[in-house]
Amino acid sequence: MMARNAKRKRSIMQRILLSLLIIAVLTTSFLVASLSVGGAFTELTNNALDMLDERTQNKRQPLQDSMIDHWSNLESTAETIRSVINRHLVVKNLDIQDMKTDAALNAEIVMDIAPTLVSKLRAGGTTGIFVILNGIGIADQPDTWAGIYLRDADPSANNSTNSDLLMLRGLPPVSRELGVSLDSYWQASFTFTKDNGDYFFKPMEAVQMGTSDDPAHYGYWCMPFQLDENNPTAAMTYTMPILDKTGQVLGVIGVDITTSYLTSILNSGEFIRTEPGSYVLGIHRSDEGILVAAAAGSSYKQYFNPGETVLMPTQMWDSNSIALKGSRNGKTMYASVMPLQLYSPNTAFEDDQWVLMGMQPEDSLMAFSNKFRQLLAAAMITSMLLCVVVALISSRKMTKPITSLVKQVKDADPKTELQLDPTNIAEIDILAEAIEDLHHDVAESAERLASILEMTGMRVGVVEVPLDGDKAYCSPGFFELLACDEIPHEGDQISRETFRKVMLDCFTEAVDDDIWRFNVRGEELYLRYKQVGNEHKIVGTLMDVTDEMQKRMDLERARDVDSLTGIPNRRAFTRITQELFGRRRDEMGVTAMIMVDLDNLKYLNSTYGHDTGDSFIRAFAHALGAFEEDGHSVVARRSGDEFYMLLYGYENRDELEDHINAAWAQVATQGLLLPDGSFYRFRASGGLAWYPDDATTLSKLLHYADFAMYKVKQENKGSLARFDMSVYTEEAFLLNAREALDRLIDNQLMHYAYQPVVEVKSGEIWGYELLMRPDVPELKSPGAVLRLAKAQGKLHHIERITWFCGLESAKMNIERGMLKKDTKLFINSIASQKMDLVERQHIIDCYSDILPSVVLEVTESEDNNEDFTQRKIKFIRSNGGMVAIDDYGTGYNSELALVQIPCDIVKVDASFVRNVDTDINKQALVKNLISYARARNIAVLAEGVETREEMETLIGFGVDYLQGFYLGMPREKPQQLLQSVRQEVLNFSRRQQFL
Amino acid sequence: MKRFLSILLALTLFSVTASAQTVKLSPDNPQVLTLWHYYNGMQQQTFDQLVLEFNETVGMEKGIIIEPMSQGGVNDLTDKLMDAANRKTGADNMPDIFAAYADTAHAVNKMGLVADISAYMTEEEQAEYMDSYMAEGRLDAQGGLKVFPIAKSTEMTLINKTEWDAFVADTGADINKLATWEGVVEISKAYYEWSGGKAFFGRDAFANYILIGSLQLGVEMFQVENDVMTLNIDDQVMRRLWDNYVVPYVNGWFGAYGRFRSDDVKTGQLVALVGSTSGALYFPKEVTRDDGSTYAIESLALPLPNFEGTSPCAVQQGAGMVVTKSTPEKEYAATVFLKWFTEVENNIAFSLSSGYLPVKKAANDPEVLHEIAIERGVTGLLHDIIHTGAQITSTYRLYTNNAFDNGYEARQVVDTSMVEAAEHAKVELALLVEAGMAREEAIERLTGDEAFEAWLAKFKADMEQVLNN
Repeated sequence: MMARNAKRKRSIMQRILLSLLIIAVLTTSFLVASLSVGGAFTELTNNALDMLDERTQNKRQPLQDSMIDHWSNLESTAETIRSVINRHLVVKNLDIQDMKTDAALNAEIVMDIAPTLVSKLRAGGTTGIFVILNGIGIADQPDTWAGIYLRDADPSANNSTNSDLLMLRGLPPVSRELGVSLDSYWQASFTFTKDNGDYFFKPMEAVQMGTSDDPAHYGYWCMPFQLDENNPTAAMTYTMPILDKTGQVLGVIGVDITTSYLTSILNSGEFIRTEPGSYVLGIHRSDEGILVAAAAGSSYKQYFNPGETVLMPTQMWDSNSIALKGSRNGKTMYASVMPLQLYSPNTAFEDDQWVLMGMQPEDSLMAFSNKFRQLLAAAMITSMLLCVVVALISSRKMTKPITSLVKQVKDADPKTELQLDPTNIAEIDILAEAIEDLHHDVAESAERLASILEMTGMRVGVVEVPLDGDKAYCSPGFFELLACDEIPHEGDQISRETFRKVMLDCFTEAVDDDIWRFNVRGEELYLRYKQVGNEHKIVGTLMDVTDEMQKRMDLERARDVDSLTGIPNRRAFTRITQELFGRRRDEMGVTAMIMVDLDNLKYLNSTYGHDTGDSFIRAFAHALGAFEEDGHSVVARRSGDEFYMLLYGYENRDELEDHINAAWAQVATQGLLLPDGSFYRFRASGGLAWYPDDATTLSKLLHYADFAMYKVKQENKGSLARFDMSVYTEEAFLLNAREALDRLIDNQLMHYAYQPVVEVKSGEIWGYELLMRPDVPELKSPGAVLRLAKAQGKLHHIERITWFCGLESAKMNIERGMLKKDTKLFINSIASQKMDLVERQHIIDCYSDILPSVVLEVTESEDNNEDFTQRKIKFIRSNGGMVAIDDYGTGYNSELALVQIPCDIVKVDASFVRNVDTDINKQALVKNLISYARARNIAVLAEGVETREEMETLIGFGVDYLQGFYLGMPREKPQQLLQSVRQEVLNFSRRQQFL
Repeated sequence: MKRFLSILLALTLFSVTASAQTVKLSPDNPQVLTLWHYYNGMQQQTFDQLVLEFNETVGMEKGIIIEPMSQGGVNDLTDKLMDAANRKTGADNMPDIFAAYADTAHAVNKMGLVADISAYMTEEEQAEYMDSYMAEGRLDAQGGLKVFPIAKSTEMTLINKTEWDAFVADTGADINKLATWEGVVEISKAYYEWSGGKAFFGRDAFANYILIGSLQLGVEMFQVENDVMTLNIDDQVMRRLWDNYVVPYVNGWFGAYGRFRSDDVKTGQLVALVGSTSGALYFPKEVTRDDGSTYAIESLALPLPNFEGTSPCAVQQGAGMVVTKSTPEKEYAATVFLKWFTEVENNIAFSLSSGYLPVKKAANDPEVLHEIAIERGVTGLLHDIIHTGAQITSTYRLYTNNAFDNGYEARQVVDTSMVEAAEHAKVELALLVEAGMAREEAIERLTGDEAFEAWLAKFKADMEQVLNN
C-alpha cells in the first residue's frame, strides 16, 4: 500500500483542477469560435501574410527572370571573347602565361573585344558590363589587371552613338575607339583591394576548386560594392569566368546593376504606391539575417536607416514569412521572403541564398486581425479566471475524504486486520473495501511464498530495510546463507546497525558486479546479492550461485587452452599480452616478441597424413617449452603451425638473447620419431622484435616480428631473424612510393647518364649506353623505379619515357655538339612492353636522324612478350638500328635467347666479367660465347669492366667492345675517353693481333 | 460647426491670395516624390547626400520623401522625359520633379504638364533669387514660375599647366594671348609646331561657342520676344566663327578625340579646353598615356576667351528644377524641398563640391563665395575655379537665350553643324593629301570661301527645317 501511494505523481485535486481548466479552455475557445465569423480568426493573419506572399511573388518572378535569363546570360559573349583571346595567342604564338606579363598583348585583346561588350551591354539590360583578363594591365605594374568596364546609367534608353556610356576601366585608346567618355573615377586598369575583389577573385577561385567545365557553374552574384573608395556608385555584379578549352581561367566577364537602378526596378507597382509596401533584395543567411543589396519603398525608409546592411528577423512566422523590427522607429514590419533560384544545385555559390522580400508595416498588414486578437484575449482571460475559481472550490470538496482515507491506509499495521472509516462517497467506499481485502490477501500470500521457497530447496534469502525506521527484516534463509548463527536477531528482525555491520564484515571479495566470494567453513561459496529500492526502502535478495560460478570458471579455463597442444591459444595470448602492455607494463623490462612457423609441416602432412602432422605440432609446442621461464614467458599457438612467444621482464637484451639462442638451438636438435621409424627434426623460421628497442606497442611489435618472419621465410628458412628497421623501411617505402612514381611519370622527372662503350679495334668510343637516372628523391635507382612500375602496372609509361626522353636527350646533345651523330646509343627497352603505332610514328617523325645509331638492348625475362619484342626489333632494324642482347649469362638471357632473338651484339653480363682474369670457369664461358658469336657474325660486348686485368683478359679473348667503370663512369654528359685508357686498349688490341 | 467651417474657408482663401499656399501633409502617410536629375559622380554624391539630409529632417517632420534618380546625362534625361510626357509605350511615368533646361521645360510646359511654383512662394521669397535666373524660369508671357533655379554654371578655360610650362619654357609663349579666340588659334598653331603635330585646344558644348560668339560679334541668333523667335544668321559673323574653329581644327591645331575634351586632356591628347565650371571639377590631376602609365600634372583656370575687340560675354547655364502638375500635396511638397535645397547654406555646400554657382543673391557674391571656400579649406583647382567663376560672373555679360518652340532641336543643329563640317573636312584632308595634293592647297580648298559658303547654306537650310517642323 505504501509503495502504491509513493508512486502517485499528481494529486487528485490537481487532476480535477486540470480537467476543469481544460473544460474552461475548451469552452472559451468555443465561445471565441462562435464570436469569430465561421472560425475565420486564424485565417485572418494567414490571409494577410498570403497576400503579402502573393505580392512578393508577383515581383519575384520577373526579377528572377531578368537576373537569370537576361542579365546573367553571358555564355555566348564569353565564348566570343574566348575565341578572340585564343586567336591573339595563336597568331602571336603565345601562351596564356604570357598574358601575365605582356600588357601590350592584353591591350590588343581588350581593344578587340570592346565592341562585343558594347552590343552586349545594349542588349543585356544591365547598367554595366566588364571583362577582366587574367593578366597584367599596365606594363611593369604587377598588381594591375587588364580589362574594360563600361557603364550605362540608364539601360532603358538606347543611343545610336555611345554617348550615354561611360568607361570606368580601360586604356584610353579603347574609349576613343568606342567614342565612350571616361567616367570621373576612370582608371586605366583594374586594381583590387581586400574589400572589393570578390567579384573578380571568387569565381576564379571557384574554378580552381570546382570540377565542372561549364563556366556558368562558377557564375557569382556579388553584393553591391563600390568599385573604388572614391566612387560613390554602388552596384551589384554577376561575374562568370572565361575558360579556355583546357579549363584555364582567361579572365572574367561580368555585368553590374547599380543600386539606384535596382532600386528603381523594385520601386514600382501598386504595392509600393498604395499599400506602404517595400521591397528588399538581398542574401538570406540563416544565422546572420538578411544582407541588404537594395531596398525600395517609402515604408522601408520610415522603418529602417538608409545605411542598414543587415536585417535581423525577430520572429519566423512560417517558412517564408518573418517579422522585423524597424531600426528607426522600433515598430514591426512583416516580410515575405521569397528565394530567388539564381544558382544551380551543386555549384560554387549555391549557399548564397538570394531572396526578394516584400515588406509591409504591421499596422497596415495586421490592423484587422490585431483588433480581433485583443478582443479574444480579453474574453479568454475572463472565462479562465472564472473557471479556476470554480475548479478550486469543487476539487477541494472532492479530495477531502480521500486524503483522510489515505492517511488511514498509511498508518495501518500490516500485522493486524485493516478497518477503514467510510467516506460516504460510493465509489471510494468500494475502493476502501477492496483495499481491506487486498491487505488481507497480501499477508496470506506472503506467508505462502515463504513456505514454497523453503520447499524448493533453493538457497535464497531476502532482506527489507525501510529507510525511515531502524529495523531490517530478513528471511530465515538470509542468515542461513551467511552462516552467521551468532547474528543477534529477533525473529525476522535485526537492527539496521547490525545489518550494516554484517554486510560490511561478510561482503569483502567481489567476483563480479553482484557476485561475492565467501569462505564458509573452509568451503568456497559464491553468493549473488541484488538490491532494489526507492526513497522509502531497500529490498535485497541473496542467492547461492556456487554451482553456476564453478561451471563458468571451468569453461573459461578451457577457452584459453589450445585443444591440440595444451598450451595457451591465441585468445589467451592476446589477453595476457594486453594485460602486460596495459596495467602490467612495469613488469616488461626487456621483452622479445617471437613469431615461429614450422617450415616443413606441409611435407609431413602430405607424406604421413594429418595425424602425424598434428603429432608434429604437438611435439613442437612441447619443445618450445625450452623458451619458457616461470613468470617471464608466454608461449602460445597462433594457428596451424604458427606460434607466438613473448619473453618478458628481462634485465637486459644480452641476457635474453643468450636465453633465446640456447633455446632455439635446443629446439633445433629435437624432432619427432615418425611412424616409419625415421627421426624428423624440427625446422622452423622465426621472427623476433625487441621491446622497447623496436617498438613499444603490442600491435607494432607483432607486426615487426611477423615481418621479420616473413622476410626469413623468403630468404633464409630455418633461422630466427631479428627485425631490421632499415629493411622494413625500404620495403614499406616501395609500397608507399606510388605517388613518387606517378610524379616521375607525369612530369618525366628523369634524365640520362651516358656510359661509354669502347671499340677494341680502334680504341675509340663507339657508343654510349643511356642509363636512366630518376629525378625523384624517393626513388633513387632505376631498379627501384622499374620494380615499382612493374608492381603498379606502369611499365609501359616507363618504356615510353625511356624512348622519348632518351632520344630527346641524345638529340639535344647532338645539337650541342657533345655527341657525334653516328655514335651508337644503347637504349634499354623493357621487353614486356610494346610500343604502339602512334608512338612509333612519333619516334620516326621526331628522331629519324638518330634512329640508325640506336642499339636496342633486349632483356629476356619471365614475363616477356615475344611478339612485342619481335616487333620492336623489327621497328629498330627497319630504321637502320641494331639489336643487342643484354645481361647475357644471367637468368633468362641464356643461349636460348641467342638463338631466338636475331641480334647484332651480345652483352656479357658483369657477373661474368668480374674476376674473369682469374676465374677459369668464367674464362671458358666467355671464350665459348665468343667463338659461337663469331660464327654467327655477332659482336661481343663485355659489361662491367672494372680493372685493367679484366680488360686485358677480355681483349685477349677477342671481345669486340668494352664497357665499365674502368673505361668510363656514367656521366650526365657524354665524356671523352681518357687518353691513357685508350692507349692501353690499343696496346692490348694490337698485341692480340700478333698472337 | 458652420461657423468653424467658414473661418477655415476664409483662412484658406486668405493664404492663397495674400501669401504662399500651404497644404497640410501627414508625416504618417508621407508624400513620396520621384526626382530625375542628370548629376553624376561627385555632384550626384553631394546631391544625394543633401536629399538624404532633407528626408531625415524636414521631410521626416512634414511627411515628404524625395527619391532622387540620376538619368546619366542631360540628353538621356531629356529623351526619357519627353517619352514619359508623350506617354510613349513602355515609357516611365512622369517624375514629380525633374531637372531641365529652359527649352525642355518649355516643350513640356506646352503640353500643360508643368506646375506653377510661384503659387507656393511669397513675393519676398522669389525676390531672394538672382533676377536673371528667375527670369529664365518664367516661361510664359503671362508669368508664373515654371523652372526653379537650383544651381548655375558658366564656361572657362582649363589648362594642363605642366605641359603649358614646358611649352612656355621653350618658346616664351604669352599666356595673355589665351584671352582671345584669335590668340588661342595662334598659340595652338605654335604648340602644334613645337610639339611635332599635337593639338593644343578643344572644346565641348559647341553651341555655346556659336551663340555667345554671335552675340558678342553683334548678332543674337535666337532672338525671342513674347514667345516669338526671330532667327538672325549673319554671314560675316559666321565666317569669323568659322575661321577661328574650322580652320585651326582642320590644320590639326585644335582637336577632338574622345567623347569629351576633358577625356582628351586626361589622356594627354590636348593641353587646354573650354568647358563648364561644373565640369571643371573633373579636370584631371594626372595624365594617363595610352599604355596606362601616368604622370601627375598641375592645372590652371582662366576666364573664357573673347573675340578680339568685343566686350566679354559668357553663357549662363545649368538646368533648373521643374515640378510636374499633380496634386496640391505633391506640388507643395516639391516646393518645400526646392526651397530647402536653395537655402544659402545648403546651396553653397552643393556649389563647393560640384562646381555649380549658387542661385540666391545672398549666396552669389563672389567675395562671399571666395571667403567661404577659403573657410572650408577648399584650395587648389576648385578654389581656382570658384575664383575664376566669380571673376566671370562679375565682369562678363551672362547670356542664355529665352526658350522658344523647337528650341532644343535648333540648339542641336547649332551644336553639331559646324563641328561635323570641321570633322568632315579633316577626313577629306587626309584623303586629298594621300591623293597627292599639297597640304596647304587642300586646307585652302576645304576651309576657304567656297567651303564656308557651302556649309553656311546647309546650316541655314537645316535650321529652317527644324524651326518649321
